[in-house]
Amino acid sequence: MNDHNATLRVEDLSISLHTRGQNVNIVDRISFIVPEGKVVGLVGESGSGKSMTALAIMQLLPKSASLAGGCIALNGDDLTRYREHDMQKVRGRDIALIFQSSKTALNPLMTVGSQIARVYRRRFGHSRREAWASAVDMLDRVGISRAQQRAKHFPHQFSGGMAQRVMIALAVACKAKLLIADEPTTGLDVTTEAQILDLLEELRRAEGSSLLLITHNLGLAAAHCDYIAVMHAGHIVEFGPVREVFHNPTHPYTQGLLSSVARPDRALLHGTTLTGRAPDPLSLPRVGCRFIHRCPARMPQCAQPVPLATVGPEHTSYCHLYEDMV
Amino acid sequence: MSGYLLEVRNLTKVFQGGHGAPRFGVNLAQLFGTGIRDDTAADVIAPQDGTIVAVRDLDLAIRPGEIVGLVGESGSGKSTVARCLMHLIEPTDGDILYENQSILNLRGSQLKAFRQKMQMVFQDPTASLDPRFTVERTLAEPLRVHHVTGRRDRRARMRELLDAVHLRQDHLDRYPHQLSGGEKQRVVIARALATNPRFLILDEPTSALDASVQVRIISLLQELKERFQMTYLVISHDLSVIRHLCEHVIVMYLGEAIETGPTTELIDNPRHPYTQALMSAIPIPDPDYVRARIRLKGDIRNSLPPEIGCPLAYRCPHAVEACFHTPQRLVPLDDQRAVACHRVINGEI
Repeated sequence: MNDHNATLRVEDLSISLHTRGQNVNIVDRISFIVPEGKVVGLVGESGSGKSMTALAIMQLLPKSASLAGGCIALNGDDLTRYREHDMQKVRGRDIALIFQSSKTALNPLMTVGSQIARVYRRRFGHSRREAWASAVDMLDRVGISRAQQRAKHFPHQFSGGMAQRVMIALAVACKAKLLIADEPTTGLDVTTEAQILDLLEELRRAEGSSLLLITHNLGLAAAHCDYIAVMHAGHIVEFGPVREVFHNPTHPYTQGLLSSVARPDRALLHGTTLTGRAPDPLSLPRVGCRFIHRCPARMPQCAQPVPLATVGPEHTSYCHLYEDMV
Repeated sequence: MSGYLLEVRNLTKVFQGGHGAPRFGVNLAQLFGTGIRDDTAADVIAPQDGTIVAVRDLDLAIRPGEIVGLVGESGSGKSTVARCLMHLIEPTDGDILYENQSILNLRGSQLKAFRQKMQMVFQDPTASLDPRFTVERTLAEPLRVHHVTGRRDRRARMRELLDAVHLRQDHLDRYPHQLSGGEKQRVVIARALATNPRFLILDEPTSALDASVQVRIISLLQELKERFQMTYLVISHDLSVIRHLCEHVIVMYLGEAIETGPTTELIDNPRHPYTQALMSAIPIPDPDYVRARIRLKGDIRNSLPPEIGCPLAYRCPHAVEACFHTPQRLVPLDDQRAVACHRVINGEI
């Protein structure tokens, strides 16, 4: 893959969680890129480490977790070397995060207009008046009608879908090169979800930003992403172009995950669904595959360090099955 | 004898406005999304006193052994229907018959006996389990309250229940926080089965779960239905779940049924514009899936009061002038399907 046009390049990233006197790598040596102007979907079941990865990129990890190695390069600069003071400038300017729950992420004590205006004042040095006008413009762009009046309202006066539009306005106002959206439509109705994702896509294209879309919903990933990274228990088990991953999944976990999604347009496929549950983070094997206990293709060498195999153009799989393709 | 296990006639539930009631009318006009005729918005405002018609004139008939699905987005009134059926709230109008007997006048011991026959699995297993109860205590409670077993047989009955939902004996000593989402859902289902009900209401049985766990809960529910010859009413916003569980489905919008029919037919060939939009909004896990993009404008609050015209009129891509002043009723299309849209009924769309 052409690395020099990657907006974000994550290499060998590990995140360690301190819990009950132990250190566990809840994210373990993961690598992926977000090519410029593209959408990469980070998919996986709950607890697989998706949100932790997003927080690590923003350097907003909770106190109980810390970076345990690897590098996070944004346009070539390694963010892991940045101090908090420098990171504060990166957040918002270079990377903007769209949170899972707009209701808790927005400041309940500020009108939405002043929250967005604050971005313009800090990021672009706008005057109070200019910033307010830009904020109203932005609200209008995300499809909030009567933006002039709505800007004066507080978050609780918005419905879930409208509050999520405000979140998007806030993130896009920064004109960041990289957007990270962590489950941006959780809790919304499907028709609202479709509206929100269409809007995000439209604005992202207009600004030429790249997007890391974190979701457990494979349908959303299929519809909106160019590349897919599949996470399981802190490993990225498969990475590749969306068509490759969906039509030609190579890792047994991806295969299981895809065949266990209930679809409205066809009957369930039986026999290949995932069994068991994601391993307990406290009893993860130190080396080897973390899918070993659920895998239908388990082999003796699975307890050995897993090779990263190139299984197709831009398509990698983290599995002993493809050892000869390393 | 009607042959139905559960029959609902003209069910209506009105929530009176008052202190604390959501005041739909207040900011409605400003909440409108893009593309909606703002000049007409003021006409749509709901009664200012905050009265809400959550369910309007709903009919429902479920035969023994049938699985019926109730689909709709938030605010469509699905959960209100469930709460009326369980006699948790009093309907404003209409009747609910269980085994041909009205349940609305049941009180005291009769009501308790009825609840034994009809149980409900609530949305969100985490919220419906007491965090300070072990699984054992959770399962023991309905057995004790409904005198299902004596104290001595209680443990045996709990073992049966755990077996039925594929949990192990050692789960009995666990607290909810020690269980995964799927396990919690199984405990909640086991608790509902404790009284040997014939009828289960399942409110969003899988929405809090991961995809692979969802599928396993769906097959568990299918298995239990066969094994205990049960009847289900499944409430969900997720048509995938409905497709795999239900034989018959009712689509609700703003408290009214707008389309009904056999599940597969209705999902493969939705007729009402709302059902079509709902279908087209569901993300399909296939990057090459070409979706007919039927997008509605605004959201459920941009709706016309049903007594004036079609509630969807402002949002519908097919709306014509008549839609704004002609109330729509469910009209049969054939002997199985019915739809509440005059343009579909007249064969115009």
